[in-house]
Amino acid sequence: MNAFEGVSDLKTSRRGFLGLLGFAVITPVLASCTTAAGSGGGAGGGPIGIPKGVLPNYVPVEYVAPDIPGIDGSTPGFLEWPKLVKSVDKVPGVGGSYTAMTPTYGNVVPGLSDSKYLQQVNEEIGAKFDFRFTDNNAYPDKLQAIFASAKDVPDFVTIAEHNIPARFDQALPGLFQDMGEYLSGEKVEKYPNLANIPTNAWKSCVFEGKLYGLPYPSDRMSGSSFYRKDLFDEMGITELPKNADEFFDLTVEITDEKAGRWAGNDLSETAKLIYAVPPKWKRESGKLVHKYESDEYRGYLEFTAKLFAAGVIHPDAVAGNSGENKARFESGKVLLTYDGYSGWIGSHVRTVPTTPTYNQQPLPWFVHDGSAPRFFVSNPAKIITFVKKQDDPARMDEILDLLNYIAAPFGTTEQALLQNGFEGVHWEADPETGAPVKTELGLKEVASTYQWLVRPPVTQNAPQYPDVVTDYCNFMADSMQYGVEPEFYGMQILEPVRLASLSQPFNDLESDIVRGRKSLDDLDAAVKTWKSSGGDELREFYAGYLDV
Amino acid sequence: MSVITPLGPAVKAMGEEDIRPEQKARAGRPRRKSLWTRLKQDRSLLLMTLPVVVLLIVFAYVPMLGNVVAFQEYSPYVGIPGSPFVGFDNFSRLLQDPAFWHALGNTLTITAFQLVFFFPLPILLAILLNSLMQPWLRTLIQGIVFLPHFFSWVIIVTVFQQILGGAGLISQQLRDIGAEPLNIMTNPDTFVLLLTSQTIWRDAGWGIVVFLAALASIDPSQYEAAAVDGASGWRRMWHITLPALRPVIILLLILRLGDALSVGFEQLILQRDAVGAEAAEVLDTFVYYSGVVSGDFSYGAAAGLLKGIISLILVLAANKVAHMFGEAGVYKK
Repeated sequence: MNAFEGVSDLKTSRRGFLGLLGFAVITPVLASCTTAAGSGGGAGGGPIGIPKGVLPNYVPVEYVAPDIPGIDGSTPGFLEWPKLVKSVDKVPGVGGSYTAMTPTYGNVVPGLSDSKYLQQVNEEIGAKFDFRFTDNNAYPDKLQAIFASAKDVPDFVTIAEHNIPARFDQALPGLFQDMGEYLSGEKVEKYPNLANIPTNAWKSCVFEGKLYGLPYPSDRMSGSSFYRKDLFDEMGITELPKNADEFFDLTVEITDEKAGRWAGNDLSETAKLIYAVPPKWKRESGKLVHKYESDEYRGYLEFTAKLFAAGVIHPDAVAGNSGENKARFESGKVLLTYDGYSGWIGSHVRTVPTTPTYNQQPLPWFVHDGSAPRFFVSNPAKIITFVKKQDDPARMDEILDLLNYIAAPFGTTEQALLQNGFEGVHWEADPETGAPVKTELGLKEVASTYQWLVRPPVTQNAPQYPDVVTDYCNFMADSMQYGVEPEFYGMQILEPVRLASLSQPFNDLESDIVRGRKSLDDLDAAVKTWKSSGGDELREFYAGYLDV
Repeated sequence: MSVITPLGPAVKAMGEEDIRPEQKARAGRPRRKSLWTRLKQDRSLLLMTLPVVVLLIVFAYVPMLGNVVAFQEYSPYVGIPGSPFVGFDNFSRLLQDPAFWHALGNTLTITAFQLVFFFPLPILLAILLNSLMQPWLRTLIQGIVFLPHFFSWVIIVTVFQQILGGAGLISQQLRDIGAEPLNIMTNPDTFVLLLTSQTIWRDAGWGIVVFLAALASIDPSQYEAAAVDGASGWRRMWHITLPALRPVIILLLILRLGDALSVGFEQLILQRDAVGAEAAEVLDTFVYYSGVVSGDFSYGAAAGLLKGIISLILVLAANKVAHMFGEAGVYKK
């Protein structure tokens, strides 16, 4: 049976049906009383760019020198457990109570009443933090719900860049504290650990010309394609691909359906890297070109469709199940996957106990035509925390002291406590290295919590896994030569709500084209619609932010 | 307009009995009782309905006021009072949006398909179950067919994927014997079949409850009498069982029509990437993506409101048709 035939039959009948209800008659009448369609709710209003004096000064402090220094912004790594130094000389809290909405990524973290970690840390810092954990997948919906009622907004709201809701510009001035009042310029120097956060990260926190957020400094490389080196070795594959064709051949070679093994999860993101698709805009001879209009985007779609058609993608991934991506990779059902670069350590820690030979490695950079590799570097802070406006100025002072405590960098007692919990409860010292080894309770309770609110400059410190840390830092350091800053790098631009929904149809279209349900002609049609229904306007809007 | 629930006629009868004979005699002719008297007279019944009325007001009628955002350019940060009114702007945008018509078309296709292939199943199942003699067997089967109703859609879709998916149990068996693997879970052309099978597996068992109750109320002596008169099993079903079930069937049919534009949400979102929006977009997902995800709440509210109005019209029309055929329907004037 062909359901589409059914649908097209229905098209004629549903018109008759609705005509019966009188809607067909109402339409022109409604259209005639249309006022300015979709007006209002426009972003902007604030100054374009970052006004002078808004950014906090940068006063770096280093408590321990990294074993693998960062090169050109790559993440430095620590291989040994250092002697800890105290960076904050007083208890930061004075007994305040705070709520915070923070994300979890598939893991379950016990709440305040069930967590010794949270209870004891609260006691240590002299303030009561109550975290409301929300899974990353449900985050956008939950945000919309809490923003709808000001009194439900927690004192701290952590939002990943891609989850910033529409009309956020309207939420900012009413709901959230302009942190610039306390941290701009040299004011930050009162809080040495906050002053230790690099300027680039703070830039990502400027909205509408004001410093509204607190940064969660990120790796300069946000994602990478990983392969199972242990299994590749077993299969005798030593040559890694250097262009799109070689990559395609590799995926065909390693797929063995009968053995229940496929080349990869949905490799769309990998294909985007291979075709160096820009995050949003690129500039061609001075003119802004949106990624949807770019050859890179077209190339990525065509290539991904070829991968899907060749049957090298795991059928569950074809069916849209991305929640099991990591599980399929870690269990060897797929040998290639795209993941956040920092997800590497987590996968390793999780899998090594059951698969001691487990070895995942990032695929060395290459682009489709084999020319010089390039990739777009990640925003310096991809996750930002906003502080709710406080009625009591004394509370603001306490908050800033607490943030200064939380931002303590690696090598301090404060950072060690937040990252590992308490000795004897959450960890025992490794007899040889002195590094903390988490107890069962530690594994259960200690997860990223306080540090969502503000994080020290990013480092890689897992002295228990020196090999992984070395690979992690070296690969990134080596990658920096290929890194390119995308257009509007590190800027927070809030689009007018009417134009923000323009990209919605492309989400479905991408999934349709790569699965062969639609063709590149449909892409052409969609781009045409995109342009006429606001795309060109969006270009104008962004052009205003060029060269600021 | 008085609502006749299954309790309806009984309620009325009790109300009448409540009028004492001496009261009737004293009045001589029917006298209009004051509101107070009537309230006092029905106080126990009114008290009993109170909780439901409160729930309805709090959870149905008060939120309904929020529909006013459909006529606004609503922003949650300035609230309903601060958002500008735009008249029927959102509705006219909606009626010009091909995606909306597409979602409506899909919804109606799915609902029509399920009306034919899902709706009759619980009736058949109930009749079948009712004819089983051993009570323990009946309870066992009932338990088995009830169970899937309590599974969430995530689990059901996963189970289907594990069995029928491209890397699932059956596909791997097929590969072993050198045959082509199945392509059921990702085929948009047969998606409506897949959806309906999932719905049947989950809800057909649950749907038999009402029919079993109706079957239990049939007087067994009718069957005995028919059997004595020589009626075969089929004839007994045709002339006794089905007529007894008819009011319930019609009632549920009308209620189903009122729900005609709700064909599931999680079930469709979960399988959207697998078959594409072309096949999986229905009104509820359209409201979600165009309203909630894009932050265009007014547009989503307009779509939801329109859906509500169409549903109301469907219920009213179906009820009217039921009256024409001499059935009670959901309510009577």
